Amino acid sequence: MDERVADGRVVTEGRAEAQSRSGAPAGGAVDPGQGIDVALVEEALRGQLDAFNQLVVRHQDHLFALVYRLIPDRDGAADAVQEAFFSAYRNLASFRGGSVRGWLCRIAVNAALDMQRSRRRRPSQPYPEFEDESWQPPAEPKAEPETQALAAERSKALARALDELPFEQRNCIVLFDVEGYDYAEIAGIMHVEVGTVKSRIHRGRLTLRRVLAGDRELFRG
Amino acid sequence: MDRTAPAAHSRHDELLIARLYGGDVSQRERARAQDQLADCEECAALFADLGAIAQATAAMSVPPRPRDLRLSREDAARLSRKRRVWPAISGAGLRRSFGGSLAALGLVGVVLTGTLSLIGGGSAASGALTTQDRAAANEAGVGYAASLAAPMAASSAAASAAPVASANGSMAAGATVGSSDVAKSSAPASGSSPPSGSSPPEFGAATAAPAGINAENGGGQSKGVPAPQASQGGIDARLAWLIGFGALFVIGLVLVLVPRRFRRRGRGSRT
Repeated sequence: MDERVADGRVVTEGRAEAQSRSGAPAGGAVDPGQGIDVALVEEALRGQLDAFNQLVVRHQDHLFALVYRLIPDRDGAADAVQEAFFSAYRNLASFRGGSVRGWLCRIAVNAALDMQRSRRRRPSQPYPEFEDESWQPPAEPKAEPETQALAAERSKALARALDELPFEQRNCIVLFDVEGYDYAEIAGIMHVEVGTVKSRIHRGRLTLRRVLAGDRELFRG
Repeated sequence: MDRTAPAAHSRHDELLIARLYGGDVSQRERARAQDQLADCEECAALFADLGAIAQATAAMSVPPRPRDLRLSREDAARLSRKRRVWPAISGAGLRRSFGGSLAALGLVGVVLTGTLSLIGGGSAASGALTTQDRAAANEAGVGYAASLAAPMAASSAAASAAPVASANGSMAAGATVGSSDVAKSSAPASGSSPPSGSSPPEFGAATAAPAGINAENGGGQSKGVPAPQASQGGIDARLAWLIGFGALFVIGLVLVLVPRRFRRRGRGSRT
């Protein structure tokens, strides 16, 4: 048990220390394509649209996957990521070095938060894809059929549970668990205190577990 | 290891376990949480579930991206253009803010102008009544002021007072003050102290009005002629301000309520 506890801390604190040493900004793991990204940004700054579009191709799937967990439908998530790329193109000159991927992630998260705020007034059907039985989440090519089915069920249950959470808790959990931001980085993105972020994450996790009480076996398998 | 019964778990702090999982505990809290985990099956299960849910969240499958998000040449050209004032205002948030501000300014202006008109009108009316009352008193027997006022009436100051008052009444506030000053200025004329016969008429309504009032006292002209003319100019000015503020209010409302006209063109190349 001690090891698991220690793992939990090492994962969180060790990541932050590694980032501060390497100078890599938010977003967790060190990006291996950083050099290419910086070169593409420099070319884009000289007016090369193709260079910027190469950046888009390199990061659009990652940003879409991130934003999709914050915006509960595909088209809305795609719109938010598109807005993020527009914003990045407009503000290329404001890029101050570091991780291009982290910079794009921050812009995308801000675009997603803007869209969430606008959608609060006009709520829509959350995660319609998971309600559509004809669509199945993509699985690893070599995965067993049973494993694929379990992963699909787990994703559906988790999507429904995430939708039960307040926006603030969901955002913090996604940014922490998926994107790998630490508490301080999330506080900076969300413009709240670090203590607030911690509280949202801890309480959100407890709420998720309560909501998933009926599907607990899916996650213990 | 003996563990406590599930019933005892209700007394345990689940948030502490969640904080332990998130690495957000002090040394003392860590020790207490680890005791809980060691002693309580439910707490241990909670800790394990939190880990499983976090892993599942990170591994949650995502449906395919609905379209390619690369920028088209048109997008790039549009984004490179310098932003002009109107498109910035026509953005939903800015447009609403700007419209709301305009509407609020217009509404405040309409209310203030209306209120000032009412107050100013009331003062002018009460001033006229006071003047008439005093004139009646003068006719009844205060001969000193009337005898002094009579030569002034002969100088036809009343006839010249109205245009001057109108000319100087171009601002609503000025006209209002001028109207109320009529009553104030008329007081010395009908009081015990003699008025200054050399009051220059070019000082405007405040100066000209007493002359007119004195004229009516002594010369027998129709009562209250200058005051209505002065307030007529004031009413015109107030009306102009009212219309201006009303227009601001309407424009603001239109900006807030009318659906957005300038939508972004294109969403990049779609596949």
